[in-house]
Amino acid sequence: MLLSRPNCMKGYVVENLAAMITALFHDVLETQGGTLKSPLTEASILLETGLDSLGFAILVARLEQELGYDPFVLMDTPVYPVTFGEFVAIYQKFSSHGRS
Amino acid sequence: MNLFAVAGSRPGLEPLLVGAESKLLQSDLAALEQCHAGVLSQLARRRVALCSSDPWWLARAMLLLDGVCEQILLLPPEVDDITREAFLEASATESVVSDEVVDCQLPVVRFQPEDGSLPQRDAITTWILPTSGTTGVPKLVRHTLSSLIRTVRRSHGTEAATWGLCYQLHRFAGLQVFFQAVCGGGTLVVPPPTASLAQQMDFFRQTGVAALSGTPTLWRKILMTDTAGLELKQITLGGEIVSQGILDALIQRFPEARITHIYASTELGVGFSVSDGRAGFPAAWLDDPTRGLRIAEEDGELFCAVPPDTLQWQGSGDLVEVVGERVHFKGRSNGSINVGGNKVMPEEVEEVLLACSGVTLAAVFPLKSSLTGQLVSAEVVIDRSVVSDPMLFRREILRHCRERLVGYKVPAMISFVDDLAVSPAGKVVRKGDRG
Repeated sequence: MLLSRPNCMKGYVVENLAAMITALFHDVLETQGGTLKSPLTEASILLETGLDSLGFAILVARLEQELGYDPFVLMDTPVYPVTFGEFVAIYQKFSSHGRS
Repeated sequence: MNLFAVAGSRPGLEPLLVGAESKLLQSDLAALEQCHAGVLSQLARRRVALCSSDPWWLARAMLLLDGVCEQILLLPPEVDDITREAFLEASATESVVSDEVVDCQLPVVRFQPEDGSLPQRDAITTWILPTSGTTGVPKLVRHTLSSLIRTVRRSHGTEAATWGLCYQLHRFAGLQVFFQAVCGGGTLVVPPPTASLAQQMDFFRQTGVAALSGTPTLWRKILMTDTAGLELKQITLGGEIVSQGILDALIQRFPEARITHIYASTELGVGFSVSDGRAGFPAAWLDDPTRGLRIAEEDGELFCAVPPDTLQWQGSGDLVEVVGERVHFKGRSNGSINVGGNKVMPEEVEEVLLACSGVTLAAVFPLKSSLTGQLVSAEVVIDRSVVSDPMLFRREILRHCRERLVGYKVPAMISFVDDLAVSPAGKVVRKGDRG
């Protein structure tokens, strides 16, 4: 019986994903000419971070370009994250859809 | 009046056509006609379609068949089979005339020397041109030679203009250059169909081309080549919005040239031309009944009376805006990008991108977004000789855009590409274009 390949070749592991999303968040914030209201943590409220809703749409588009998936398209029932931690969790949840 | 007669009766001795391998002189016409007498009598009074990717062949076929055939459809060689059959059927074409193999259900006549007796050349040939139309659905537009050459300027005196052909000859814009040269007393220089842009410019330099017509996108590409030795006296632009930026760049590179931009379409024919070096057109023209121009109040679409002195108003599909005593073009009405309910015209963002030094070409198109419906995305060609760090330059482009555009219009994504996709008509192709 063949063993299936480990899933670490597809998608990202949690720590890498959070770091990557954080980096891209800062990149988008800077290109939008925004400023970080307070240091970004898991508990940070998304729309109070300094990035507006257009900025988040851009972040999601950039993440799709990097990762190969948009979790907001993949989810059956729309769940909108409130905190940065929830945002990252959604990406982790659908990470198996990412490109290898 | 037919092309053959007009071509044969021009003053002066300049050649009609100059190709890579030969020239066509006025004095050659009679012999050319005589040696094709057989096929001409076969095609007399028939409805034909001309199909070729060789402009040299096409130019001579058009000269010989106008006034002989009842109808000539200019069939683009690159259309798919379904569209081709639809065009042939809709035009009730009887024969396809070509120098190549054409995959269709009608008989294909090879236009080649054949003895015979010359038919009468007294038909008023209907010319049919396909267009993608304002909705993106291909359709056929009927013209006569008179309607096609309405705006050709006759050259006076011995100075005949030598025009270079940059457009495809079977399209409206290419035909305008052909007619201008042939009917206006000048010469048309036809580069080999496989020539690259740089090779075309070399050929134009060698043959002394002094007049060129192209889309703003083509002109931007020409400006990226070495144009030394190309002494242009006439520059014509059309087919896309002509911005002040491209006009200024051309004035600077070709200080001796008269610069004209033309508002025209296959459906409307030539609307008008502007030669004052400024983008847009004078708002005063809207009050001039002989011009036949009007703006729809609801959405700012430009309407044209076709022909200008009738009451038949046609929507152009182009949105305009009056700013002071000038009317400016904003973009195609069906081309807007919707970012969370906010409308963005790609042309406006492109103009801002092009004003950023280091950016040579730009195309803006919608990007699907699960959160806002669409976002603005851009493909940009940069001048690598002045941009050392593309990643840093991307930030600079975005900063430049933010200074000039409201947030939702600033591109969410910018990709650097080596070249932009351009349609067969020489216009920038925006992904998701419907026409």
